[in-house]
Amino acid sequence: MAVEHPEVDVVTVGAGWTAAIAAHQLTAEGLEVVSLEKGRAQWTWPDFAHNHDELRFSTRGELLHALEQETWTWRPNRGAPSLPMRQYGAFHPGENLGGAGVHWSAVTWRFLPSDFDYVTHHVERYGPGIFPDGHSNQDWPLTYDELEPYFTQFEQETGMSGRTGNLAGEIIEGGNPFEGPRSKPYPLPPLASTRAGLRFAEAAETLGYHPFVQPSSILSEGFTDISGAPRSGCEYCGFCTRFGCHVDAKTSPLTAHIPLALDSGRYEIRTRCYVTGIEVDNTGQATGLSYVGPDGREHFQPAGTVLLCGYTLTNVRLLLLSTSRAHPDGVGNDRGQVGRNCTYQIWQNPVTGLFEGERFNTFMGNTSTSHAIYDFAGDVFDHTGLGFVGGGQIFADAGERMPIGTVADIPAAEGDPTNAEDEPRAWGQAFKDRLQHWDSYIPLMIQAESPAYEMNRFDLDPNYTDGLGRPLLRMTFDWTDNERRMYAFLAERANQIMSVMGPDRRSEQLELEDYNIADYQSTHNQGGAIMGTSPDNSVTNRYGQVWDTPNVFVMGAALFPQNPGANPTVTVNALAYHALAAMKQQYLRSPGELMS
Amino acid sequence: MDTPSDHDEPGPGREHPGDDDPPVTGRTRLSRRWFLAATGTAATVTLVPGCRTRESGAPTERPAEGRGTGGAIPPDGTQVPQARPAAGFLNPEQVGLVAAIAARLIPGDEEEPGALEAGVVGYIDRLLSTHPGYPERTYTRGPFAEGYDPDEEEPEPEEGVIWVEEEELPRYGWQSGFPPRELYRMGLARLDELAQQRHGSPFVDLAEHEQDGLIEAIEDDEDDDVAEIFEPIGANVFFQLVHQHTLEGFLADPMYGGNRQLVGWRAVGWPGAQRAYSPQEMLQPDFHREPQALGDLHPLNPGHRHDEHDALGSVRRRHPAGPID
Repeated sequence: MAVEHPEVDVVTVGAGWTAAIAAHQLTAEGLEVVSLEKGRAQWTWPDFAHNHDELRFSTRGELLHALEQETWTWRPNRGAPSLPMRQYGAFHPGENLGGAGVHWSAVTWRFLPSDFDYVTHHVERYGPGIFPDGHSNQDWPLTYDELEPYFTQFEQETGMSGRTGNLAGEIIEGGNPFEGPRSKPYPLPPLASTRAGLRFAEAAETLGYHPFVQPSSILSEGFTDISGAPRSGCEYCGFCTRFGCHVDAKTSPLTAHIPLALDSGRYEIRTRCYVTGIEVDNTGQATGLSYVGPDGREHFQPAGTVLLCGYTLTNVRLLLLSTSRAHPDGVGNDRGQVGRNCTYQIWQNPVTGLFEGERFNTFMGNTSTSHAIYDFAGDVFDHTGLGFVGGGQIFADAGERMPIGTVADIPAAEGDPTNAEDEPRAWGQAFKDRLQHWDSYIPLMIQAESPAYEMNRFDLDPNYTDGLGRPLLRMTFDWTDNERRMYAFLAERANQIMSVMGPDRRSEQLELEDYNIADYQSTHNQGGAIMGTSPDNSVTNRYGQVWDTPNVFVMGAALFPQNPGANPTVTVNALAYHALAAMKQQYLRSPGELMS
Repeated sequence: MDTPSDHDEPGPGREHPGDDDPPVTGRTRLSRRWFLAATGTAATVTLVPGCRTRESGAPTERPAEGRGTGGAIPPDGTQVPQARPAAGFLNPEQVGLVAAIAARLIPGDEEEPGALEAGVVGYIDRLLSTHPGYPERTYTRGPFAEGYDPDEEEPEPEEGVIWVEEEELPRYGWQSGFPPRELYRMGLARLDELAQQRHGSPFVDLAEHEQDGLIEAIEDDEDDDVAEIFEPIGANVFFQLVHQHTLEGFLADPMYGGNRQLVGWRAVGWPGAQRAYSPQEMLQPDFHREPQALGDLHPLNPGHRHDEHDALGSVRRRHPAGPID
């Protein structure tokens, strides 16, 4: 018999970004909220005070989701076998209070206006032939303008660093001139510059591009956020991605939203609780969440409304696992929409330059302390005749370098021994000699779009299970010729910038390799429970409200119809703000009814 | 739910659980001294200078069964004696073999220290004695993948096996079904077998260029004799494991047993665990700061106990019983 808890108004899967935002806003409305977090509690002090340890946090993934219990399987296509990600590779979902919002890099782009009316925009400009066969891209069911107030709200509430490039239509020098118009400037100036970033920026400018320091949820100066507590500016210690911030400069769910929600007295977070399913009644409405508690027993938390605030992969899997008489193929899946439009992110290193004898201090700072260009992102450049849809940003990887994970990347000298894969051997005297150049190389990076295709999707794996014996989520995904052409175009431009930078030697990867789950790329899995305009093209409406189970809301990047070429978190949070505003205006008056 | 990561067999019952079935020979006494020299371990409690009390959140390797520091955390700032195991997982012969491999992976001497000088062998031995399974998060449920040559017919379905085209396997990342202890036990023995077969001598007795040739052969895993000898673990799998552990032992914080005197960090020019750099320092072309281990990183909020304040100030005070565990 499951342990049954008293009913609450709202229960959330996880206690990461969207759960924290929802708990903060809904408890303020007087609602009782419970979050079920699979990991443990953690706080900036004392838990991150002394965590400057690459082996434990980066190599061994201390703050990452426990994949030894529940991992994900992948296959490149329907004809190939699927195998589990046995050790961390392509992406790094989080665990513990605050979720991946604690160990994130905190690079915070708004998506471009044309990322939202994606299909309409491209068809108007280029005609329908711009899209490759088999694509399944679709417009977002809301526009940049509709989301703009919520981008701004998040930025102002939590503090964000950056140089404004477009203030209400006015282009401002030094910022990103291609960004959508913003109603307010960034609350804080950009983070400090790096030597490598400036070298890149200088070269990019020579070529007529528009470099700027990346926007970030890491505070560049002291800032008092909505919690009323002053927080420190960044110390540039270099232990950032995959770490918690020791001084709270990196905004996370722990910095404001969770404490504020707890202060309401109406919020409870239960840690070490692993959610196993969404329960529904005979009418198909959700009744709450089942979970395994820290006592190893089954529990049931009844709630009027269920928010899926887990990572993309968690949310999609829970929908598929929650089968019932009312929803035999899972919640949200009455019309077979769950799993569609699985997208990812091109995150690759087309060229690395080695500058002998120079030191760039690349171990300082973080991912955001580097310059980028947006001249080839989205549709800010003319795609006529290029043979692909999509674009991406090019940036210098200029911060938080740590040695264990990077020494194999130092560009080799001509004549250094290579292995059977034609890569320089990362051992022996030649390798040892290369170590002196560890701080002398600059990788240029591409972060680019992953359009949606019918062939790329999620479902449940037939062979592999979690620690409870339930099927793992399976991802069927690979790149197509469209992305290969996009990548080659971007890589060529990155390589031109590198030529101007003038390295002594370089390593190149100018063609997009087949997708793999072995190499870390980005924790930007998207789609699988996309939002749309009708139950025939989506799992949820524009508020993340599940069409066939309207007292269940999906939060997060599972909602994205396809992937724009930028980090997703700010859009994830803006969507949460947008949904919560509508819930307060409409939904709470008649819970369980579809909002218009 | 299982406990994470360390998943396989129970702890050591023999002096060197790395022993394969043949027992340790009469050379033990002599080799033992060799072992101590090679691993830098000593059967005593040593006072480690500069190693202060850990704050919460500071890591410790879990001690091997029946050993360890345990107990209460002493007052802030005091030096703590660190018990080191007298003997780890590897037997003396295995220690010699790991040392010989590591010496070729990152060669060195007193002037320019390499893997041996950094204490990589001690790092690996401690890792294996500390973790019965994988030290990193690893999903260990079957079925496991086996590669096949796509020019030939796909093999018949087999219980517990997923057949994958050989060329495609690297796209899936780590897929071995063998935990590290098994891979070391079996891999080291197989490397010696390869040495015997190709050169008629154990690996440790070969010339450096011969050793390099064998390491290249197991990294590339293209030769029939290599594939045959390394059945069923896979030569490249063994190479990847030892290679990764060697890099870790050279470059991880010294509290894990390697990177002695921070020689690895000095080799690459990394200052290690630091609290801050200034924006001005970020732009200095000739910046230098002496590297520092985590144990020497000064405490944040010295004098405060963990339960007094968190950085936000309020949560724990306002919720003494706590809505959070």
